[in-house]
Amino acid sequence: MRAGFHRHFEALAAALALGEASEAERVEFAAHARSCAVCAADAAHGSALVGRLAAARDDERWQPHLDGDIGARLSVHRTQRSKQTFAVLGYAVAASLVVNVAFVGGFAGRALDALRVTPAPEAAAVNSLRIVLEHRAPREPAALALHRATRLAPHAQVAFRAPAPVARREAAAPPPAAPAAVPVPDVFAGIALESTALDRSVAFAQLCAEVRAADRPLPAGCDAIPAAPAR
Amino acid sequence: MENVFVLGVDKGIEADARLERLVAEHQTKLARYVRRFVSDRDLALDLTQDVFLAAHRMLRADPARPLTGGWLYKTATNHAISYLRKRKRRGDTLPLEEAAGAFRLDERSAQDLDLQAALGALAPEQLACVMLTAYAGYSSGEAALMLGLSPAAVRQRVCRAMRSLRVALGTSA
Repeated sequence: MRAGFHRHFEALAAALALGEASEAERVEFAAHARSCAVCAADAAHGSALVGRLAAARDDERWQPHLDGDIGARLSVHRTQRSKQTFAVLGYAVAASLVVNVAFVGGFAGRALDALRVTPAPEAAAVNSLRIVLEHRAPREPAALALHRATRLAPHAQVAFRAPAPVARREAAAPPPAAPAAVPVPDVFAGIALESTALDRSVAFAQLCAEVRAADRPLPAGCDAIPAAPAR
Repeated sequence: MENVFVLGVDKGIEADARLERLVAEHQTKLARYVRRFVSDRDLALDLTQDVFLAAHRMLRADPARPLTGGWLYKTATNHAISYLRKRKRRGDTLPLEEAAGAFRLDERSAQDLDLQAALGALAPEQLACVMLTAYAGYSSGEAALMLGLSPAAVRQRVCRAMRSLRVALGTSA
């Protein structure tokens, strides 16, 4: 309350200094200034300061010249505005292109998804073929040769176990000695199995069945005779 | 299309003509007024040119728009206050270009320099009120319209600015 009361007289002191106070305001302020030294000082020195500022304005000797500068600035300003306009237009065109491509691309992708054909059952069966990477000795030297000929970077060391001397016919030639460790990528082992070894494993199982039927003892190194895979 | 082009040229010519009249009439007073805010002549010229550029933009948009001296002073005050606030945020010091050559000035110029230093020490809001009323000669009601304040608020700021100026300049002011 006291602060608001004093702000009112501050405004009156400024009005007096600026010469804007009415007669009623002068009387009101004079009554207050008799008991308030701060407001009395404000009113006493305010008029002098206003007069000093007015004198400083009138005594100013600096003569600024803007004519040439304004013309130059305006021409530069117009050039900059035209450049900015073209730049903004360029950005707008580029942005609209990006948006359109994204919009059309999104729709095209969804349309392609909707039209995508479900794979045939045969293809699904082929894709789900289980690949076994063990017990597949390099019985086929040509396959190994093919692996080496591709010269792809080997990323795995596949150790080929020596072929078990099981159920070999007496007349069969001894199997070739497999290398102890041949760098063959896993994917080649899978491809080899998929392409050639399936039929051979079936033949091996059939041979094992014959051995079992003849009730002959298992040769050393052959722990179990696998059952013939269903074809 | 041709009519639009001709209309644009006419509007541009009319705007340029009105701008030339505004510059011829107000440039000196406006530049001096802005210099009291920023204490630097080159800077005052730049800000004054910005004011006239703003006026030119408005005249290009609407050549019939009435642009008075009050609009120019209001825009100049806003530009100067914006500059002072930016300078305060950056922590720059007051240029006071005349300070380097103060020893060569006569007594009147030295008093003016003291006044300039005292004005530079004011808060931008108080400085705007003092400059619009005591320096440019507008009433507190007109200054209130320019600054978006009430007349009582303008008068209070003028009173407090006067108090600060009195302390800075000495009681003899």
